[in-house]
Amino acid sequence: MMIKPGYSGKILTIDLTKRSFMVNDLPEDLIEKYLGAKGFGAKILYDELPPNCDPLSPENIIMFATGPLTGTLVPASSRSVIVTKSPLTGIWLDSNCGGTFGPELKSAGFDIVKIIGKADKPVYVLIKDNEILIKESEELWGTDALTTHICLKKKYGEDYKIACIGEAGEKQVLVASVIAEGRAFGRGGPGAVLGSKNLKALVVSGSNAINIHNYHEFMIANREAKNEIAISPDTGGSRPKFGTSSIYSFIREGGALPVKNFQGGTYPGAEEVDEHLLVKELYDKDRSCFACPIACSKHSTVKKGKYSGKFVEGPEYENVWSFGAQCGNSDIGAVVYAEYLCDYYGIDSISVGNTIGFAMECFEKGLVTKEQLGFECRFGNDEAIIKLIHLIGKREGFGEVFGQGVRKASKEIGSDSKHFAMHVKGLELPAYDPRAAFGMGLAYATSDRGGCHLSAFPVKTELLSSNHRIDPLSIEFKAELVKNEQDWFSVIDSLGICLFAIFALGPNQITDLLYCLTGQKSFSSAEQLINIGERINNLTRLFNLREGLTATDDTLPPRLLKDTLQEGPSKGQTVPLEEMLKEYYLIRGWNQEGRPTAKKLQQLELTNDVNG
Amino acid sequence: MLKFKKDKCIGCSICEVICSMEHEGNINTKKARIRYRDDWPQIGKVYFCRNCAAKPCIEACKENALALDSDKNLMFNVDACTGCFDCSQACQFGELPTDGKYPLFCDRCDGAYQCVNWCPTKALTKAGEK
Repeated sequence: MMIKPGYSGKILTIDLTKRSFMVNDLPEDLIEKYLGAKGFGAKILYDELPPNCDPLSPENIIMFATGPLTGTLVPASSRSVIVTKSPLTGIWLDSNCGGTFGPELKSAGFDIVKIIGKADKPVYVLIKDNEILIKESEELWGTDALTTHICLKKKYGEDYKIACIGEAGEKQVLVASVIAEGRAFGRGGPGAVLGSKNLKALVVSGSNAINIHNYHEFMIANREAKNEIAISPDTGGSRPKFGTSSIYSFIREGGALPVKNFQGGTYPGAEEVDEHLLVKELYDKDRSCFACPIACSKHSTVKKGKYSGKFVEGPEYENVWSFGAQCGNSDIGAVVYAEYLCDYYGIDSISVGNTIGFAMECFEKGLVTKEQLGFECRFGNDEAIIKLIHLIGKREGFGEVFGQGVRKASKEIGSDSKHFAMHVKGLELPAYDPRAAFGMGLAYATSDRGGCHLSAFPVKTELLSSNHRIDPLSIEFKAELVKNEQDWFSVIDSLGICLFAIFALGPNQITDLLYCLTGQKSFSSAEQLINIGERINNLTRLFNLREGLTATDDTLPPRLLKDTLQEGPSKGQTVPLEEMLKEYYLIRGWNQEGRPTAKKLQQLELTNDVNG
Repeated sequence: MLKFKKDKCIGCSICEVICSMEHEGNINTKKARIRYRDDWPQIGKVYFCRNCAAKPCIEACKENALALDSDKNLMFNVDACTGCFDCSQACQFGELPTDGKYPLFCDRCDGAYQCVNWCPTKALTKAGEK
């Protein structure tokens, strides 16, 4: 069989229980209908995962998948995705990662690596082109994620790329991430799934070529894309300079930076922290993912204060918030160290930071005491942040409670802590307060994996754009905006490129790149791709409904719906979710229970996939 | 001759991708004649044949697979090569890239210098250019 340009053309299935593996051809109709990475994952998980299985049982499936653009010349084509049923939320999970792991996996010859079962002893999987070995990893078990990288590279060489879990994943902490080459498949607890399978790491090296359909046109399309990236004020200006924190002061001025677990107000030193401070005091050097000219990642070392000498690749915007404003902390050194520790243990820095803010509010309200914790845990206490990360990472003491995320923690803590447990469907919210940008509220409420800013990013249109801006405090156009972004973002996540690339490249341009690479007729217009995106979103929705999700789960934490902020541009606002949600269902072609109608499924050619 | 400035490199591997496209017609960084080797948490280094003046590799090659052409550029005859990598050992600038069997030598794309064209930070330049 001729391998389709842009794809590796193979699916690798590893059964850890039997310690066996199988290689299959990538079906043509899977490509045609589901495009790549996230789309492949959606179809396979829907078809093959037994409904209502325990995410931490051997039954659960975890997939590493790449898209057609992964590992090519296309700007920011570094992404790969983990798809599984999340142990944190109990629903659909796709967790996306940049760096170099995805491209390496693709050059090893596999579009999808699907892992099922559970090894009887700790193992890691070694993939060298067509050679697949399941190796004992008892001596690595207990090692942190960063040292695991060093050990495995020493053993196999720098050509090998690694994705592994740390101590938290091994102990099945529900917020555990998978660390890959200094970057993370962070959200939703994929690390715990690998831990439950006794799988420490994937070690991958490959030397297969990716074919190109139309070389000449592909070059031209790439040259145009490269220029667009370079001249965009975002991808060619602020983002390379300030990193992901380039939006920090804009979000804060817009009133959308959540403070102290979304309570609002201020804390000592709040005004001093912004992207300019990071450039001045932290950043040493720019670093990029595979094939990315943007280089939003930074190498940072703390130059002064009690965290002097601490290093991290980052800190990212989300963490400057999650360990900063969320915890009432303005010591940027503590943020750096906290993010480093998250990589070290292999835990999700957004969920962990959010949870620590929650813990601090519980402490201040007297719901968690010093006797229980062993230390004071008020807002602004940087040492408490670090202590809690250690506890969560090691799953010790009260870390046992908080390591399960805020939804489960609030159940255990009880009282009215549910009111301020800032999550949607069990996934902790990131750094945008939807009371200052209503679209973001709808995006959180309807994202297929829970409280996530990457399924749709309306806050960009609401607060960050200089043109095409729409009123952040109105519900007008929000349902449409969120739906359109979700569909298009699912395409991007399926292609294997970074969301930041689309801040400069439009749908037509990306379609052009894809079509020149693959030559696939059904990818020849942006409309066709968006249709695929919509199909993926409907399938993940059906997956979630099958797992027991209902329309009542499409909601926000009570605090965002009932409490108002006391100052700033969004003073006096709560999120008018209900009206937006109604309109959203209507635009989506879903009924009032949030279920895709038969007509919608037919229109998306999903009827047979769902019933067959 | 190609020049590399480490402090400008961001580790994106675009040079590898474009090199393999130029020489192989497809994307395969493991066949690139220029190679970025990561050194996390530090930025790594780029390896390639610099076509240097000394060319100790010619001396080192027992099979006479390496020679000078009329412009004093390096010429590589892969048919004579046994893959012993004596040339790589002799190289003053570090290792030479390989495709797993044989060493790979930068041919500057016959003057097109595709890696220089595509390097987003100008970490790679032609000698004599800024």
